[in-house]
Amino acid sequence: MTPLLAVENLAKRFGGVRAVDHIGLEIAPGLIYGIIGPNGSGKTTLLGLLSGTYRPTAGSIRLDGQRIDGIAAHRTVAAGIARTFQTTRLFARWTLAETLAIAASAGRARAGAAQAVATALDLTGLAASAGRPCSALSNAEQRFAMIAVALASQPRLLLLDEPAVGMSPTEAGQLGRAIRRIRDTTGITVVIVEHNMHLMMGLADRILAMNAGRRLAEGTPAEIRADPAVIAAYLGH
Amino acid sequence: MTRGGLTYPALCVLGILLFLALQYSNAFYSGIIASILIWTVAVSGLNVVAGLGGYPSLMQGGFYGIGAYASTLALNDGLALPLAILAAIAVAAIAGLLVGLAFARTRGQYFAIGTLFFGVVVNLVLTNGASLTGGPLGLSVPLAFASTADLNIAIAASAAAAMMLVHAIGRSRIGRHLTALREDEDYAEHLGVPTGRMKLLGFTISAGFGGFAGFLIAQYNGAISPDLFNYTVGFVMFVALSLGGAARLAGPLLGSALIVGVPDLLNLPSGAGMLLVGIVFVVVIIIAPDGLIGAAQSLAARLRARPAPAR
Repeated sequence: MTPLLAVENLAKRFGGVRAVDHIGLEIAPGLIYGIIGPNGSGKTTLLGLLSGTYRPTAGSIRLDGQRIDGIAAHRTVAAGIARTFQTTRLFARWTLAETLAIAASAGRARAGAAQAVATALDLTGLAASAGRPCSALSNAEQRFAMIAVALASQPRLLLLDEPAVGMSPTEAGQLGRAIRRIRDTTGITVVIVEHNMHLMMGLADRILAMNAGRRLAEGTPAEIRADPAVIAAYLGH
Repeated sequence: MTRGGLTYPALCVLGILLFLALQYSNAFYSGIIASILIWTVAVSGLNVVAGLGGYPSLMQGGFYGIGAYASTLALNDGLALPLAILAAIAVAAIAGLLVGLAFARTRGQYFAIGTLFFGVVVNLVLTNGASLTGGPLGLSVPLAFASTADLNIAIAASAAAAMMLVHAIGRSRIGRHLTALREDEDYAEHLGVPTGRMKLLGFTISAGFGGFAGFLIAQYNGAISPDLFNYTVGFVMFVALSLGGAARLAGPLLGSALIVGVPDLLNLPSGAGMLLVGIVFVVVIIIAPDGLIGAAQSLAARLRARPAPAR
């Protein structure tokens, strides 16, 4: 099967820091693809390159065969990539419904915007909160709300940057089930960066382990868990 | 802006009342009302980039000046009135677009400072480009309206139409995108909003309104000179918007009335008038950051929410 996302030789330097150092990866459609690594290993920068937040220093990104590296973030949304952020970002004074509406109308398929909003609310379990201002939602609700907003733009690829931040184990469990439900019902491919290993190991089909901007290992959760290089990076030498 | 169905008819009625006030007051009051209404046009335009988009532009006075000079020069060249109006709007809008490109990557106070300097630059050009602008003495303006009544109609209709247009823009896709940008520009970009293009569009529209207001003030004054378009004008227009209420339909009218009207009515010398405006501005921004209309709305909401007192 042709990969939905194909990344070759991707690099990003901030001054002298090689945040992402020549990474290559391929993600098949419909996969939940995890990225793990110690702090500062380049996970968030990699997501930022995929979502157009940053321009790569070198390398290429192809979505369904189309080059998308270096294009503006709003154009990656049009191409079918939506993302969430590590720190909660929503339009605090807007209601969730208003925020969803703008994502739906600015996104890929303007037709069916109302349906996209309803589906996004349904998949994240937030239908009852649609009329509330985003600032009035609880932390966990805000984390789910960011995912709902991303879904409203009807993406093919959903990028989640530490979605479980600040969640209790119960809430993280709900999050895991929601992400699986999203993939199973819509077929959207999910890339997830997460420090919660319990969540990650139970959720991801494949995992990329990074360290210092480089690829350490890639494989199924069982393979990653048994990989000596990964163990060394996490537990020290 | 919530009871949308009544907004346009209400503004039409307001336009007619404003015309009657302009036409049938004595010269003193009529002059104050005309100044307020012309400012309302410029400040309504500012409402697009600053009110909806959240960009604290201090350069609306520059576009005001550009429009005044562009229309006057066009009339001096023998162009007809509609072409002179077009020149005022187009030259200002193009200037707005270019400045927007130059300031595309600045935000917040850096943006505000940059735009303040644009106002200074416009004033310097008007003062020193003597061969075209007449230098510090300025230009006399060929009057393009057949009668004072016609000019009064144009001014009143322009103020009402400017508020209507900005209201319509606020409810359009452009307006929603601009308000998203105001809330969080980076997040808006990641929701698919083309923030760069929207910002430029906002700048261009705002500048066009400023240019048109410049045309009106030139026609009303009959003469223009650089001191009418001092860099402080843009700053005070921003103060008027903040005072009245940014992103609110009547904010520009209320703010202009307070800024332009009150010092004139009290017949204060211009320095004292500005001092009063400054004090009022500081007080309003501290106790009512959403401007006077915002404060009135939240007060009304609070009164409604409070249960009726027991008798």
